[in-house]
Amino acid sequence: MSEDTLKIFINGVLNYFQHTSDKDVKVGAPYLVENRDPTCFDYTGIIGVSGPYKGTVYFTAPKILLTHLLLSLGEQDTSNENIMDIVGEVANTISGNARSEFGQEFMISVPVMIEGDGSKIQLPEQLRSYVIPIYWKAYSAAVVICLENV
Amino acid sequence: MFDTLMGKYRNIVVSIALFLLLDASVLTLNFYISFEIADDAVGVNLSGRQRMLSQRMVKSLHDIQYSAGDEQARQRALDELDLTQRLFSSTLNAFDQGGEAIGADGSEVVLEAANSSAARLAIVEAKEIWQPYSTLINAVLNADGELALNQALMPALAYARANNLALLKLMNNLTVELEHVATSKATRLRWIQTVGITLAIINFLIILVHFLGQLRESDKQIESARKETTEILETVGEGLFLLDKERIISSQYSRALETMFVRKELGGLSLEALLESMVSDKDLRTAQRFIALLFREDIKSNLIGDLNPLKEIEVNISDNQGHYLTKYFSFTFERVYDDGKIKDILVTVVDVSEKVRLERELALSKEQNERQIEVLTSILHANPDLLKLYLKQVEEAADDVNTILREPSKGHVALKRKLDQIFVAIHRIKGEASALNLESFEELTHEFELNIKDVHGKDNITGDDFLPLVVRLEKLVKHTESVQVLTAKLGAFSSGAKAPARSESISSDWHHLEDLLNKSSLRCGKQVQLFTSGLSEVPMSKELSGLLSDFAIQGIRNAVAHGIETPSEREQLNKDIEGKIELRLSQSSKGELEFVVKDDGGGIDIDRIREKAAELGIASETELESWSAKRLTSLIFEPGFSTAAEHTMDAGTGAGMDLLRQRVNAMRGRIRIASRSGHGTKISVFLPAPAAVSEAA
Repeated sequence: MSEDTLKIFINGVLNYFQHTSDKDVKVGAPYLVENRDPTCFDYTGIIGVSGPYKGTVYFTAPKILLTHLLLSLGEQDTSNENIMDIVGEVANTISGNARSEFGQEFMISVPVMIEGDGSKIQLPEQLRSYVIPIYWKAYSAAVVICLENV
Repeated sequence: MFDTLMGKYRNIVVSIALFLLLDASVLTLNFYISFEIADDAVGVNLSGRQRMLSQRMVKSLHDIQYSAGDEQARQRALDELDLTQRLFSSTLNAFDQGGEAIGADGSEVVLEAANSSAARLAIVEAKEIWQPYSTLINAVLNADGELALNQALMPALAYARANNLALLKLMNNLTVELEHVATSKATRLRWIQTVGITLAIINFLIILVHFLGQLRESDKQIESARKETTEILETVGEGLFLLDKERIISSQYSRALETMFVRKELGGLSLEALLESMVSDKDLRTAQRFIALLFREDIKSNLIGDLNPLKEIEVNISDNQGHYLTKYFSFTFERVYDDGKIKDILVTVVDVSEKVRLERELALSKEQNERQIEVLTSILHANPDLLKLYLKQVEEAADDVNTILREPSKGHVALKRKLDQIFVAIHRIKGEASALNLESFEELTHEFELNIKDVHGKDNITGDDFLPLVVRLEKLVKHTESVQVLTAKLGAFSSGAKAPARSESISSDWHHLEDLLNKSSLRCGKQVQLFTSGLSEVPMSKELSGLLSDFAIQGIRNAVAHGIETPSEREQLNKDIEGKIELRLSQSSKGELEFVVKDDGGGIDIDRIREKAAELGIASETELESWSAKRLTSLIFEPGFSTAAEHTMDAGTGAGMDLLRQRVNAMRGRIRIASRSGHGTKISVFLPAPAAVSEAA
């Protein structure tokens, strides 16, 4: 995995936050995590990647961050449904960015949204994931990247 | 097309043609005979009129006789006679010779000459009677004056009386005969119609029975063929389907296709619609072009067979859970000809995932073997026990680095601190790698340090900047894991070399220091000799021996990189070309340990330290001028402080001394540095008695 590959996914998220009223989004120092214990906040948008790299990339965030994100986009309705939608939108932006950056050899799936614990995020247990913390306002979310170079 | 139809449906076509022919013949005969019958009816009608005319002529003759004195009545009777005579005569002639006659309605009709023998006999006999009768009547009609009329009338009347009945009978015979002829024709017509219709019905029944049977039979065959096809398509393990020119999948395809693509109702779907989102756009477009080529008549299929881009294609099927199921399919394409033209393409899809998986595993294990051999050659020379210890250290260091990375911190200062901490952890394992002569680890950690340096130099450090570090970290972890796997595999490492309790001293492995010295001096272009004393005489814990070993490593590296001059410099200074480094371990009567690393190099360059300190902004130049040599020397223990011009494997990172001081402090020890310009440096570490150390710990 190269630094540039990681950047493509991170930029996807940063691009999304550029549309909000508070554009001050920061990337934290990345770290590794064992897949047996995936990093997960309240809501997660997952995309599958296949091609020269295979695996999963997901954006996970706490409810409070997403609620504020909705409000900052002018959406007053912060129902569960809308929160799920916004996670999906972030994941979609990641996926769109990856699609345009990686080009034709890659396949990027439509995002899948999940709520709650990370048991539904299936990652190959023998591998590690890269966790890139994303700080926005007083909250933190993360982009988690688990790709195998096959 | 027509030929095939004729071939297949020949019998039915012939039968239907026969049916039509029969119908047409009956119809034609019907027409013909009915016209004849119509003619005969005219004949019967006119011959019947002959009977009436014969009687009217007799009546007219009598009317003439009895109309004496009544001129008008006579004239009427004469006119009547004239008319009847002419009608009778012309009609009789027409019956005899054939020709025109006046019909019942006054119009002209054409009669055929009567040709039956009975009719002919009646006509001949009638003519014989009529000839004189006609002459006599003409005489009456032509008589001029009363007298002449009476003279002509008498013989005519006499002849009429004598022959009237005979003539009437003959005309009657003629009528009856003509009626017979007509009746027999009608009877014939009925027969023909009956036979014709009967034949047509028989023909129809044959068609019905025979061909319905045939149809039923062929339906049965088609049904059974269809059933067989369905059974084949249901059970065959490959994906089979036909593809038309528009690349649409046929309505019939094998069930395996649905299983393979995890999708139902594929018939009517285009190949693109099936494959998109499963294969990359690039592969999809290549496949489209290839299939287009297959449909071109001017291209031989065996010429383009090798171009098949779907021979072994990776298909990624989304499970709608954000994951892809990767399979490998092999597509083969066969042209299907109809009438010499390419009609469809028969596509066979085989799931070759298992084969590809095995191939990959084989390639991977080969690659792994090669890598393992590489790793093996790089670690074989190492002491197994030390190696294991080292791997554990790396593992711990990597964990530490990851923990440091994980600590949430946003600002530049906090991130810079993080960087320093990471550096310390990596630098330590780099030194050890160098000492153990583990080149792969040395390289990895060296590159890691370079990355850290790059980030350190930035004005505003952000989380992004740590990306290359985390990538490096993963590399390091992976490499460590692979070496661990290898050492675990090599039983000798765990059982055979059960480290003879490491004799509780560093004596048994002090040769690794020699290796380090040789490598460092070679890299720096210097010649250095190592002298050791007392290293094997003091029993100590692993922790202590680890610290002393690290200290020795750092001391040797510093001495080679900074202290000892190059051979040419030493020659100019009238020193031995070969520099000396001395390692000495001694224990005082109170048990305190003293470990000394001493070299005969140029000593610590105080001016260089001052310069560097000014450069790093530790203090202003004027302030530094007032600093004592001791204070300036102590700067070498500051994190990130190095006087080396550039960062090499042996010097320039400035974290080694800092780390050592921390560890010595932790063991309640102290460090002393003594240096004489031009004569060398001596670094001493004083540590409490080993027992006291463990208590302190």
